[in-house]
Amino acid sequence: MDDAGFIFACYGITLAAVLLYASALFRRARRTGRSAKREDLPWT
Amino acid sequence: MSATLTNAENDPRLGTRSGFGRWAGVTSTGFSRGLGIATIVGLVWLVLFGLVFSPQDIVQDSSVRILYVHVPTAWVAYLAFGFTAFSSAMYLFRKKKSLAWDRVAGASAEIGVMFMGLTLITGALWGRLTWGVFWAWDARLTTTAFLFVTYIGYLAVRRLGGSHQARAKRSSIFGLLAVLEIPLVHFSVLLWRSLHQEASVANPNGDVKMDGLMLFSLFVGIISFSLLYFWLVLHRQRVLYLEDRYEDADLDSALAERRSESQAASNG
Repeated sequence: MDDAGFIFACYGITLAAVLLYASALFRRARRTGRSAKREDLPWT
Repeated sequence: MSATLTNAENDPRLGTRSGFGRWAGVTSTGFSRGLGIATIVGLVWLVLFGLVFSPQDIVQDSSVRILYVHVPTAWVAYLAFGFTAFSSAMYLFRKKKSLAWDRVAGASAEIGVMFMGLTLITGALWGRLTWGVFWAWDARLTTTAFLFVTYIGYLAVRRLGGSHQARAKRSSIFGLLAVLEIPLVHFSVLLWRSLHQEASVANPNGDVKMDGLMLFSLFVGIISFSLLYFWLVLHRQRVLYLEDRYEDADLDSALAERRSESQAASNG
């Protein structure tokens, strides 16, 4: 693999990791918050 | 945690959010959405500056572009672990033992572990181009790997079970001890003979050894990854609140069931 391959791998892995984490986080939020009423949540 | 989520998924007591509520996001607010948009803009800027606008380095050639991701991920990992220690201290030493601080500590550590992992991966890619190897048992690399494993241990300790207060107490103590490793990692390049270069920007004599556009690209990386960190922590600690609340509700209903069983047995 040449320099460009390593550079794109670096940016690609980082963005993929962040996107995977964020999507897992929102899936969790939806599952655990299904029964939650927005007005009861302390951040609303 | 996974058991809780599996239970939550199959629990008939929980309804399904429908309509706009399903897509709006339980943990979102106007502020978090604004922060999320600023983060996306920052990351787009980082890709543009890192891959297009920034010039090549005389010595490192194109591999310098990896540093616009590698250095910010390391910075955010330090920030996250520092914030975990701060939140742990706020939980332990304040009169009112607020679990909110414990949840922020846990959220921050989890996100810090992800960024520390990315620091090790991006560093390995840069090392392969610059040094010819993915890994060397160098002081900076070894202490960083040690820090990474320590915080995986912190996350494991959080999942040992027990009440929320017990979890908060033991993980706060761990969080305050673990943060002491950060100075060791940062100054490892000065303490031992190291293959890893010394700090180009945050060095003690304040001598910045970078070209203007390269420095700006690095700055864009640090700002956008910091925004990303705050955005993720905001959502993660809210999810932890929902999980804690769900566990409490589960425990309450189990206790009520046992009480009614014992009452029925004593009546019968």
